[in-house]
Amino acid sequence: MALIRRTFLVSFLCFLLVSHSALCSSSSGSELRGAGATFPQPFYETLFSIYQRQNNIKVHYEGTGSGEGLRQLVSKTVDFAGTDKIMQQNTSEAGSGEVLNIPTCVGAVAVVYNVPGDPGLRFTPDIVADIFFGRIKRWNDPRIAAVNRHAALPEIPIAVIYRMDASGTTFIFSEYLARTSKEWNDRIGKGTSLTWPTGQGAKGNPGVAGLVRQIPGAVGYVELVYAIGNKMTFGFLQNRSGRFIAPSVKSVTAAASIDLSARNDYSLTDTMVADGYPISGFTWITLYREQNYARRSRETAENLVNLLAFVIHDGQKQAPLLHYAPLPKSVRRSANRLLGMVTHSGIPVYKNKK
Amino acid sequence: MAHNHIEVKLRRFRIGTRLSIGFALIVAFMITLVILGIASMNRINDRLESLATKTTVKIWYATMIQDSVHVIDNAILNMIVARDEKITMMEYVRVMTARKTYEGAIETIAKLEYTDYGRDILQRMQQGLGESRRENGKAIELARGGQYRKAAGIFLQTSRTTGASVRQVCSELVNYEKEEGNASYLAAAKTYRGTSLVFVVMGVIVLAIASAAAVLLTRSITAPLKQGVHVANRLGSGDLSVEIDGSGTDETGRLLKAMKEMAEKLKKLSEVEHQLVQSQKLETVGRLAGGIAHDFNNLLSIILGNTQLMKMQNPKAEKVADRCTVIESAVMRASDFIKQLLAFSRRQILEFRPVRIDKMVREFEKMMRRMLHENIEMRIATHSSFASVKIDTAQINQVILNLVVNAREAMPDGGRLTIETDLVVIDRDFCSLHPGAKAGTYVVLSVSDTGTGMSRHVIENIFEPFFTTKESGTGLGLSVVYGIIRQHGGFIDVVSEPDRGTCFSVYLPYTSEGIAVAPSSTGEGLVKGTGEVVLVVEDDKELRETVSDLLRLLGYSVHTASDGEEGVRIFTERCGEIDLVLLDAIMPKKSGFEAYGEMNAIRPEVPSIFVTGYNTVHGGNSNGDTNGTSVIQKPYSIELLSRRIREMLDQKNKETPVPVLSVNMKEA
Ligand SMILES: Nc1ncnc2c1ncn2[C@@H]1O[C@H](COP(=O)(O)OP(=O)(O)O)[C@@H](O)[C@H]1O
Ligand SMILES: [Mg+2]
Repeated sequence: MALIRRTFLVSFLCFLLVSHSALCSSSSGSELRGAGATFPQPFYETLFSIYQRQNNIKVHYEGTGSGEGLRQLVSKTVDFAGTDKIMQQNTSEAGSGEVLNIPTCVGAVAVVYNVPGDPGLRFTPDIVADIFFGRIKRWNDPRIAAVNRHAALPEIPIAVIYRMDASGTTFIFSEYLARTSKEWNDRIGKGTSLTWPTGQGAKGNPGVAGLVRQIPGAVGYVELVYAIGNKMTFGFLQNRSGRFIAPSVKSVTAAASIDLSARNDYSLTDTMVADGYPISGFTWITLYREQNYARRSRETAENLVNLLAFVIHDGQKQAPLLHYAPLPKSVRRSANRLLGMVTHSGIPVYKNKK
Repeated sequence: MAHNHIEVKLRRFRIGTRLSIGFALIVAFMITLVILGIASMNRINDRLESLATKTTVKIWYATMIQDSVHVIDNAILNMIVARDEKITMMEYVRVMTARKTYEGAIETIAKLEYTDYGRDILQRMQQGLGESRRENGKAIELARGGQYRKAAGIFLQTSRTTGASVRQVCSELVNYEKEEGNASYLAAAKTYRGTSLVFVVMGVIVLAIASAAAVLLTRSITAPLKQGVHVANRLGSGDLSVEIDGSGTDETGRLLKAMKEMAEKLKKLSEVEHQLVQSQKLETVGRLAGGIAHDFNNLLSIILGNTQLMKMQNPKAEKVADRCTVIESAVMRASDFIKQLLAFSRRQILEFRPVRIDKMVREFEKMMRRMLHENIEMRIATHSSFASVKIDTAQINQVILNLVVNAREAMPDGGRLTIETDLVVIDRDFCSLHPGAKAGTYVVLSVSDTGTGMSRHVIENIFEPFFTTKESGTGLGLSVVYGIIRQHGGFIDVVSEPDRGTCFSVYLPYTSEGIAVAPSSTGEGLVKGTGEVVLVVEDDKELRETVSDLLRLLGYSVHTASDGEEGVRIFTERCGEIDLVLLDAIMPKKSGFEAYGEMNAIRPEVPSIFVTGYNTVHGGNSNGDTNGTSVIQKPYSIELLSRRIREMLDQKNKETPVPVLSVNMKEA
């Protein structure tokens, strides 16, 4: 009986919550909702709180992971989705209209680990692949030792932590592995959610960071801000040029400083740039080009476009504070151009074009 | 006893098979033990492992929540204290991470928690966390807006209330999980102890079974071997009565069986030996008795002769005649007694004639029936139909009589007496068990009764003269039977069981000779002479005179000689005169046979009559060469003497005397 009553109570509460949020999104124009990638979440939350203070427009952003964010966008629960992977136009999910992917900043996926003594370790791409394959089982493995001559490596087992939710971070990380390891490419491939050969899952960048922080011997991958924010140690990764590079605003900016017009996927992993960090990636905000859907007001559309304009222009200077790299100028320009394409009932929404 | 049973059963298999089975069993036991051990260990391990994982995971996650709450407090405090935008942002990341951490932790614990109390704590914690999140959210929002003082106000206000309560619930959870873990660990340890006890018990049982099997197996091998050694030792020391169990079919069983057979053969051998000794003993006794009997017969002859003389010389004195008749019958009884002794000692001249034994038994039947009381049923079954044996009818009748008398005496309360005849062929095997038997064809005459039977001891002694178990017994009946049958070249077999009865089987050699016509018996009374001259050669002076007187009374003229030499001399001197010679068989200087030989050389046509107490010459026939000679047994009656003399004289007159003498001198 107690159980039934409890489940009833819970579902009732849920109902209240959902109806409340639905009410909020549709009635009040002074509020915007977003969901998705946890990768840029600190950046977004900082910008959104600044934006709210300046414009008195409340922006909710829920770090649900890129996959869930896009799903919520398609189901029209949110006004925009944060994603680390461009939403492909040809996916059936986007059937209700053309979507636009606005790049917001560049981030780095840091390989974090919890090794007693916090040694700064170097990793070659194949070592990373084999750790995540489960083949390298201990921190004092000769292969790790070979590239880390001076580090004191303890003889403790390696516990792999991965993202269990559909995640753009995972996409960037697996894209890097698939590019550097043929075997990874053949057996595991790249994607937002993968079948991991070994390890334990956690939700969101904070989840992975939390688990790695708690489990001695653990290794995982999180956006750089989580690594630094949680005072975690992260590895130097060998890039194409053979150099071991630590993730930083500088190395990420270097990786992003390429001519992107040649590539349509904006991919930065396994960069050719000599001092570029090899696991860097753009992160995006995805929205519908035509904003007049689900009885959305023009005002809401305007607010959303204004918010995004703030993100790609004024907000960019906040990025380095949170260890993200700001958008390269060319990217910022094309992002601006994309914003200009947003319409409400076919009429462009973006006014103060730069 | 069940033990022995199993052992006997086991011994149906060979030792090799038994050993293999034993080893296989032990290996199987061990494998079972190992499997059981591994299985129970695995079970325990799994239990402990899952328990340990669950408990540690829960405790760990509970600690994680505690830690996260602490991190959040710490981060907010940092924001407030540092009053720096960048630090605020980074600390916010920490808050986010910590929130995610405790969310995940709660989720995980909720999955593992199954006690109501645990769920209750979790729910309270979730509530507390939600509350503190809201409160903290306000403080963080203010800090991010740069309103650090306000933020500090809210934070310090709430951290004392919500934060404290969350921390308290957290530690409650940790303690509860620890307690829970301990309890389940204890439970697991208990099952572990239980399982290990079961394991130990199983081990002990398996060990017991294995060792029992081993003991049984070993015993099934060593016990018969021990028995074998024991048997061999006993046999070696000459004890044949040892019991041997040769029931097993394995190697030792076969060994014991062979030993048993050997022991049986040895037993038979010793029996045979015993019988041989027995018969030799009887032989000696017989000789002794024979010697006595000879002198005895002479004495009886004198008594009888004189008594008869007395009767003849005093025909008027009736009283004397009566007395004489009494003496005569007494002497005849004594003579019968002596005859029996002689028959036993084989010192008797027998008259062998081929006879159909069936016919003989049938003829004797009436006589036997008269001897038996009504309470004894007699049955005669003759199977030998036309088979004949060369026997002295009178003697064999005596044998039957003695056996029938014994049977009667063994059945004082009645019973059944069976007389059977049969024709059997006896082989070497049979002979080896019956000393004195020779292979060949025999006619068996058996007399069986349903009487008292005999013990082993009695059976061993029955043929000994004077052995008797009866108050008024003579102990001569069977010894006579023995003697007679030996003289016939046969043997006796006795089978007897106390309280069941006895069967005496007399084996007489079969003969293929034709049946002779029984001699016509001459009528009773004296047959007088007509002045024929008789030469009496007798070393015993008194007997010589008695015989001479008797012969003269019968109408013969008599010459006498005191020994063989003298006899021959007189015979030579009065050559043409003498019509018949009466010879004592045994005399000093020259025996009757020697004398006869010389006389026969001079005048073969003169018939001779041997008078003998016993006959050392004859083992067998004396009837074949009776031409010109005859034998009379001492003590003889005057009737017999007169008849015999007359017969001889009449025969001589009828036939052309053919001087054949092959009177069996071979043994002399
Ligand atoms: N048919 C029989 N049944 C039982 N015992 C017998 C039989 N025949 C002989 N015996 C035993 O043998 C012994 C010797 O027998 P025997 O020589 O005839 O002497 P007697 O008959 O005078 O005792 C007997 O005393 C008796 O113990
Ligand atoms: Mg008797």
